[in-house]
Amino acid sequence: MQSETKAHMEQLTSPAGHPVTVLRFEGDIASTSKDAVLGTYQALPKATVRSVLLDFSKVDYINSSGIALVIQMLIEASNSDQKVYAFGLSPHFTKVFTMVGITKYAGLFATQAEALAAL
Amino acid sequence: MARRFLLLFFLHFGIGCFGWAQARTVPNKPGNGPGNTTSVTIGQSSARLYGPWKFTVGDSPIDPLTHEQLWAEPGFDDSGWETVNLTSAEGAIDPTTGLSGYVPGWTAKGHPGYWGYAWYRIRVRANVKPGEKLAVGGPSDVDDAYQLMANGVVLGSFGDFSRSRPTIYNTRPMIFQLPQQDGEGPASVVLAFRFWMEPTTAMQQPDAGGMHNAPLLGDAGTVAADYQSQWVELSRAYATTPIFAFLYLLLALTAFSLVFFDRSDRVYLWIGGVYLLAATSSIVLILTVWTQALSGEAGNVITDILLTPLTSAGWAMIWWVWFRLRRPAWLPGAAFGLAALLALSNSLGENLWFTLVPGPVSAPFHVISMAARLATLALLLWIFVEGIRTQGVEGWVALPALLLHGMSRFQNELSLLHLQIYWFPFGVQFGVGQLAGLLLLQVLVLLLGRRLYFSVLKQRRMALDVKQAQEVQQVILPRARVSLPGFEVESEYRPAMEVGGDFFQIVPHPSDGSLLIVAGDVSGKGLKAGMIVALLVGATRTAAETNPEPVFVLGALNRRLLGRGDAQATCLALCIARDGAVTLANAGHMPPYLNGEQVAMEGALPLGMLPGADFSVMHFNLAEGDRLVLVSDGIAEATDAEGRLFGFDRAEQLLKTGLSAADLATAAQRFGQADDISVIAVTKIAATTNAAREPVPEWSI
Repeated sequence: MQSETKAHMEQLTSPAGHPVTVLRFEGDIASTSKDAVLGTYQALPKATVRSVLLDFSKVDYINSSGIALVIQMLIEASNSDQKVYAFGLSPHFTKVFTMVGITKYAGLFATQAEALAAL
Repeated sequence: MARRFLLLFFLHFGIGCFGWAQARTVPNKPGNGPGNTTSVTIGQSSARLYGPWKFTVGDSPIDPLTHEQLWAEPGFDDSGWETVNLTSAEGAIDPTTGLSGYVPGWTAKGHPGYWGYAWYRIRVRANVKPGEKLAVGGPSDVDDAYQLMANGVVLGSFGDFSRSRPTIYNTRPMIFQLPQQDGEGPASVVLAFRFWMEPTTAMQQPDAGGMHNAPLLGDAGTVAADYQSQWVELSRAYATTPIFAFLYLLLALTAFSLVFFDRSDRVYLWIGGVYLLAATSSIVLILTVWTQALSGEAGNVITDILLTPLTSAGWAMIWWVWFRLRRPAWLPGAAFGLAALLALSNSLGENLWFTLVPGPVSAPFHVISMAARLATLALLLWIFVEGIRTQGVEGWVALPALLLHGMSRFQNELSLLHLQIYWFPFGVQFGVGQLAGLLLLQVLVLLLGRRLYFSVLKQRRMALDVKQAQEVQQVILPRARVSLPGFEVESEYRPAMEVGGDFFQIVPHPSDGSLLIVAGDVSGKGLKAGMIVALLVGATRTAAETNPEPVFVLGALNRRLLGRGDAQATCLALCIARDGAVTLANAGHMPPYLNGEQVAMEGALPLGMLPGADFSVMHFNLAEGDRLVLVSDGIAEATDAEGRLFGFDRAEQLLKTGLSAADLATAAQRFGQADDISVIAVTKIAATTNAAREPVPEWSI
């Protein structure tokens, strides 16, 4: 049974002093997650948000349609010159993200601290 | 108690009123006795106490000497009170319950709108034989509660007077034993009734207030027989209520069960929900009229504040969903907003909380309640107009029942205008609301049957479409095992649903002996993914005829997918030359396994994401005996009951054992298939071995 995707937004500051917007996802990410994934991202003000951190640590499963949504979000971020890093992925989904070329658009990290340090 | 009512009911309809056969009633019309005293001769008989009754509104002061109610004392001078006669007009019945012997209450006799306490007194002289027991049969049709006192002694009450605001119940027969008389001769008794009426009753019923039929005095056995007869009359009046409760419950269960036939249609849930409310409403009525499990106040709160408003909104939702309307989007919110307004205005307008809210506050809320009901009716009519405009026949069929149903929402107002809203065929109450309910029930059964028929027809057509799509997919995907010059190819395809989103094509070059293999995975599953597969298979064949180079093929497929909404696919294309040289291009698909080891290659975006996307490309050579296996992510993402993934490592370990494509697919499927599974295994063999056995095929895929 697929669980609903939830998304929360949070503002943090990187160790280097940059403001970072964190999008924390929960549940499964699938074709029904369009509003939670793309909608949440598109609601961010592109002019002021320069760095985005994606938290997948509470995501249980991402299917192919969900991966397509993440890619679409990363392409939009890339077109807006935003820097995007992601963390909290299981080794399985880290490998899947690598296969589908997400690493060309977003750095993948194990933890939030590592991702923030890289920003 | 319920068993007793049932017995009485059958007694009445089956063998007649046995009690009356034994009782001999001596009618006691007003004016029989001298002055204010009524003379009654008691044998084994009883007398209806029509009057003259002395009556006053207000409540008795407490006698400072006895600390009892002063107006109950036999010596109290009630000559200044009004005189009331409880003789009914010929054939008069209660307009709501149909109970016989009806006389209008105090609001129709000089005290309009009055609610609260009021007193009735009567002085009776009865000749009683030694040892004979006397009893009073309380009036069986009253508003709302009373205490009965004989010569200042409380005999009992109907309703609970232990609280400052008495608890009322739906009207019912009562019986009170009089204290036994010492010796033979005339017994003089002053009967005093202390009445209480709620403001709600004054607003809901015409002619409300106090006694609506005369009490009975007489031999205890005869009064008991009358008491039983009154119960039969009351039971008969509401005899249709349990039938309606049963019918509503049956329709609710039927509607809920239809969800299993068509989960996509939410109208069944709404119908089930509304009829569950209707059944609850009938059950609440049964509990209030036939038992004292629920007080009148509790019944009013449950019905008028909870069930009626929710049912009103529910009906709006039923037809909104039934006609598949989408605009205006605010309509469902408006229906429930009006329901909330109705609940609030009913609670204040009917003065249900009169101890909390002053009376004058309630009047405007009654108007608001009417406005909310009118607005809900207007909303329903608007939905019907739209429904008739778009659906036609169904709307016309249901419209008369809906109008009657809407009218039944104004029963109280129509009743206050003395318009007849109840009829009593064979003494059984049948009103506008029940007529509307019955009509709607029939209409809904008819329309539900029609809707279900078309729904099943549609599902069958869709199932046929899916089956045909499945057959087409089986045709366009290659056979499980094919032998080509220099190659042995085995493949396995296990869609998660009837139609899959995985695809592959094996295209031997017509002249140079090379082999093009294209494998992919369309995002999503089912018919939608299957249709994209058909598109990509066609595009693959077309591209391969133009140029079998893997990068060119992927580029063509990417262009074909772009701009088609959320159609994306991972895809891998590889071309194996006759000498074993492999060119591999990948668009986000799982890299192949060469002799059990996954080929390391850079990631790339799936098809359909970006125009002019870069694909990862690599070259390597297959030696004779080498085995190249292409798998879809359905293998690694097979998930067991505990939510554990099959995983890449497990897949790799199995591939190292040289497992066949079918066995690998079966292993993942047994673990817990979550997505389409496809496996293609290509083994490089000596070209001559195979070529000698089988020529280059002209097979189409």
